[in-house]
Amino acid sequence: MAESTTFYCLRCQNRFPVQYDPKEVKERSCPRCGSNSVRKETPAAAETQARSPSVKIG
Amino acid sequence: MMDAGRHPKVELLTDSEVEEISGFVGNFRARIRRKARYVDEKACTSCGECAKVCPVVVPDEYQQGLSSRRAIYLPFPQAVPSSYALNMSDCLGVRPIACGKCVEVCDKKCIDLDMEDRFLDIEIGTIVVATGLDVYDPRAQDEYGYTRFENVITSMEFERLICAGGPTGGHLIRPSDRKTPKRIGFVQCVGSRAPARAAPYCSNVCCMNTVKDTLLISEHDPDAVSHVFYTDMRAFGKGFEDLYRRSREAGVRYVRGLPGHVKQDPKTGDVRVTVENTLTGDLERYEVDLLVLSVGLVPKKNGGNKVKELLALSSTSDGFLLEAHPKLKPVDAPTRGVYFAGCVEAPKDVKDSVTQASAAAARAGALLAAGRVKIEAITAEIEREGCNFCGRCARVCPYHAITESDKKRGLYPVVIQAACAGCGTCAAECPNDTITMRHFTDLQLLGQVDAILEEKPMEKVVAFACNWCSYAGGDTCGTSRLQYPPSVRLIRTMCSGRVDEDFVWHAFEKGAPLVLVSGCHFSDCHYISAVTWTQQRVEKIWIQMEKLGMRPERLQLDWISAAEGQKFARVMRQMDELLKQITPEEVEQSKKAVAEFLRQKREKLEKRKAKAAEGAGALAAAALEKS
Repeated sequence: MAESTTFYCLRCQNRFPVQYDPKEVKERSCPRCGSNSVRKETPAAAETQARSPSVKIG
Repeated sequence: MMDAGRHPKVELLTDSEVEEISGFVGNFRARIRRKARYVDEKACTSCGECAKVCPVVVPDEYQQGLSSRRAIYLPFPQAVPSSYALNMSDCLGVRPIACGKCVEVCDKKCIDLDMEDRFLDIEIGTIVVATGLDVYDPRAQDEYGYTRFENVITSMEFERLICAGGPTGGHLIRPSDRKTPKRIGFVQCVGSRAPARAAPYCSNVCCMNTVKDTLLISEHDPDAVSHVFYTDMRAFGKGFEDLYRRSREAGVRYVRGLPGHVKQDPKTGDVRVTVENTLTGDLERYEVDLLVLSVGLVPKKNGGNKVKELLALSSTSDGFLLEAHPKLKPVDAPTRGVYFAGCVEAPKDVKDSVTQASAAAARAGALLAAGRVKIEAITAEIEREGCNFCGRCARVCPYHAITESDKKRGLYPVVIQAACAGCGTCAAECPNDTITMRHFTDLQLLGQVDAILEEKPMEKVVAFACNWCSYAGGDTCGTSRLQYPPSVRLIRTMCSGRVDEDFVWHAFEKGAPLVLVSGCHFSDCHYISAVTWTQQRVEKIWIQMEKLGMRPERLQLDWISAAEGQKFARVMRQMDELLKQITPEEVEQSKKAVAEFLRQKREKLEKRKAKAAEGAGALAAAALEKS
């Protein structure tokens, strides 16, 4: 079942909600910069994101 | 259809379903379920005596439910074979046994109520998929009142009403009072070009179908008046514009705008339509006797997905099957030896369907006549040494081109060369590196990574680009004279699925500050579903990067199509921006972490290979002993 999950963009650091079903592999893109380098936000990912310098594009 | 039925070299298997398909081009094997029709089709003379005595009356699907049929019936007047069929679920209903009246009256004794489904195994060289389409169900867009008003019908229902073989013998009537309608309205784009509510695409045939219907109406009754409510008329084919002109000259009124309000008068049965004419900006009201919804075309629901699964095919985002190449191989499926004909690939009219079917038949015929298949040299090869029968290669192959392995029986996986399309996903996924991708070997690709990073690695972005989309997108970018920074260095692979985790780690070990993996959009993947494995692999690497204390931002992913030259340039500029944010200290730190990670990984790989070799030795010894 798809549920609303936060994803974040590895290019512009945008966080956005996505209807996510773990069984379904589908193309996703950042609604702000259009990048496909987006991933589900996990506690570990959020920690890394907080440590990483902010990269702002476009 | 009659010609096909009579042709000595064509065997028609009607009322049949494909249960299984195995094998590859030239050597397909199919298991067909021949459903019981309870009537011997060779003995039946279509006298129709059985239907006369059948007490079961059900709506006739062929006539869109506008008339009825019996449980034993002739599917439609020109059906091939021209034989009655018994629908057992209609016949029995809730009763446990059939009444048997049809059996009693059949002189030829061709009705057998005990007939069962039969299975047929056949060998096939090539396959043409022509499973057709469905029509949009307008109940979802009820503002036009299809479920509420009797005199609002679909274009398919109108087709049956005006057809000589239809329930009224071609006499156009309206359902509420069976009177001949004098004022007829047509609403275009019902279920098409509505991304939020229905299909986003244009169904291709509705405009000209309506034009044809309006001309038919004026031929049937010169006094009848037709109104067509449209967003824009698309008369693009040969002779279409002429037909459209004739329709307007015949007095058909075309109103640019879709109805905002539809209501049926309960007393007269007339339908009142309110529409904003977008050419004049006026709100106009029309009263018609019959309103026809010009419904769009949608991909086949029943059986469509089964065919897709059986033949390892992929579909576009709108659900129609994806061709191997939109320009160079428009009738070929990505699976070799499979071709498309008709609306299974996209909505199209009769002429286009016949053109595509002829092309598919010619492609299939040419392959069969040659008797052999010419394949690309870029295929995978599995080395037995080191293989531990994990079966991952067979699981990820989008073409089912790798045979299943079985450790107990000592069966190693084998790549069927004629079926392999050369995406390289198996080679990237093999945990023991026992698969060689010809022309795109690990050594060749790693060599390119080394060459890129040999000098000034901090100024370079290592970018893996798939041959068909991203790399071609780069070509489009170049031919369009679009500028992008020279820091990005492309490594071409046939598919992004070929990009092994080890390539990315190797680049980081060699001091790459940033790696980009790019491929086709999911709906454009030239290797069916290979791109999905790329995404999963990159996600796995991101997690491992975090564990090693690296920023996952240093591995970027992007899907760029061959037409997206501008996107290619934009992504490359973004890579250059990202590159500037990465410090030499960060790269040095990650080089050490990655080197240690790879050392451990290689140790584990050696152990696995040694264990696999031991297993292979034991298997060989057992085979020797057995022999």
